[in-house]
Formats: sequence, structure tokens, C-alpha cells
Amino acid sequence: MSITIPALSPSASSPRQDASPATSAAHPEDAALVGRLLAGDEAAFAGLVEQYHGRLVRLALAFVADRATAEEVVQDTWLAMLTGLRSFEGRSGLKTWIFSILTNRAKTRGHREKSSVPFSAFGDGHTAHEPAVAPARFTAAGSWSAAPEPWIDETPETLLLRGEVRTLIERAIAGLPPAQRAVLTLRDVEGVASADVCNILGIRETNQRVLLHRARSRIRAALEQHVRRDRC
Amino acid sequence: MLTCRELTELTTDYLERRMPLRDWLRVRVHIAICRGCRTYLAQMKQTIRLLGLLPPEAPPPHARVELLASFRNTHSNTQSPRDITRAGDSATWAR
Repeated sequence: MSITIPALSPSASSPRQDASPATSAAHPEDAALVGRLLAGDEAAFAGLVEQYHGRLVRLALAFVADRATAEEVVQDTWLAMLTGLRSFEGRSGLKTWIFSILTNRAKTRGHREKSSVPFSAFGDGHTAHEPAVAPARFTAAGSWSAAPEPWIDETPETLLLRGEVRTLIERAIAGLPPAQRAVLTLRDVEGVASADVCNILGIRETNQRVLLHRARSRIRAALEQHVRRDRC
Repeated sequence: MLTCRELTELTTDYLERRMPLRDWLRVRVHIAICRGCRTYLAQMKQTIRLLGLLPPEAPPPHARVELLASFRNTHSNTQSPRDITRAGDSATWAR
């Protein structure tokens, strides 16, 4: 089995610092962790698995059709990560690096299998005309005819404490077109910076923003529908 | 003037501050006078926050075990002195 580790090129906006050592001081905690992993520290690896496994499966599901395949891709990702650890340069941060290995492998897997989701739809702009809010909510002049009602005393935390809201959001994410799902998962769920998301997915910043906007709009709409139904 | 409908298409650009100052000001002016859009923008922010709070699933136990075994293997193959002992052991067994 050949393992390819994607070389994360630094984004155009952040100039590469050639003077930096192999594990850059930009992510000192990553450098320390990588050191422990290279030294064979099992607790360090177990901690990393604990921290990332579920998140990797979640991201993989944007690229492959089913959970079993996602789990396999994640297993592959861990092995690839261990193999490539020595070449980790630290410029992008460990998290971004792991996510990019996953994405690379999940995409390859997705292309190979017929059951995969059509990720090639990426960037073809077929979601570009999808409105953020249903046109029926506006007057002909473009003002609200049915304005959103505030989600009173529903802070995100209290909402999330209700298990059904979590399930609702997870379902809404699962229902997104693959490219939107990948961008939303990386940006909003995992908190990866915009430039890193563009690098990981190999897309342009403007495209990323359009995908993110569509995705967020859909999740908001799903939440709104849920809150409204609750009030009736 | 910016319509509500147009504003709902600009929320991400606005929140990411990826728009010309002129457009940014148009959004600011609009939300200052439009309650519906203030609510909309607040919901977008809540949605984003909520997404960031979604907990990941714990790794399945079998995955944990398999991965730790792989980790041990990687290390015994490359550098661990234990590896030498083990190779010695099997050589003894072979005889």
C-alpha cells in the first residue's frame, strides 16, 4: 500500500518562513507533541486518537458514502500520519496537517468507489443560485414579509443541551451537498482558519465563502423551522 | 438601499469582513434600522456558535486497540531497543 502525504503549501497570504526549523515555533505545543510521538510515547498517541478520531470520522463522511468506509479512511489516515510524522514541518499546525491527510485519502477513496458521493461537484457553482432564505419570505421589493423571530432565551448552550437539537443539526449537516458539508465541518465545526480550509480542500477563498454561506444558511433554516414548530 | 433579501446573501461576507467598506457600511446602516435583519444576523451567529459546540463521537473501543497496536508496531520497526530483544527471542525460538 502506498501512502501519500499531502504537502501543505503555505497559503499565498502567509509567506513561508524558510528560516524556521523543521517543527516551527509557530505551533510550539504541536512540536512538543510530535516529539513525544516520535519517541514512541503511547499516552501521547492515545490522547491524540481520543481527541481526533470522532472528528476525523465526521469529516470523512463528507467525502464517502457510508460510515464503515469513513472509519476505514480514518484508520488509514492514522497510519499515514504515523508514517509521515518525521516529515511533518509544523508550518500548518498538526490539526490542519491531520485534516489534510484525511481529506486527501477520503477524496481518493471517494473517487475510487462508485458508492461515493460526487465530490467533483466541488466548485462547479451548481449551488451558487441557491437562496439563503426562501424567496417566499420576502415581499416583491425584497423586504421581509415573514421576518425571523428571535430565538428568545435559547442560547446555543441551552439549545445544545437538548439532544434533539443536536440530532437535528447533525442531520442537517448530513443533508448538505458534499462540498458544503466539507467546508462547514472544517470551518464552523472544527474551527479551521479560512486559508487552511482552502489549502486542505484545494479550493479558492471566494468559492469557500460561497459554500460556507449556503451551508450556514441551510443549518439556520433547519434550526428556525425546529424552534417555530416548538412554539406552536 | 440594500434590501433584506440582499442582506441575507451578504451575511457571511459581512461576518468574515470580506467586503468593500462601502458595502460593509450599507449592511451596518440596514441592520441599524431593520429588526428582522438584526434577528436574522443574530440567528446566523447563534448557528455558527452552535456548530462549534457539536461534540465529536468517542472513538470505538476496537479502533483504539488497533491503533495503539499499530503505533507500537511503527516504533518497534524503527527505533525501539525492545525490538532488538524481540528479534533475538524469535531467533532463539527458531533454533
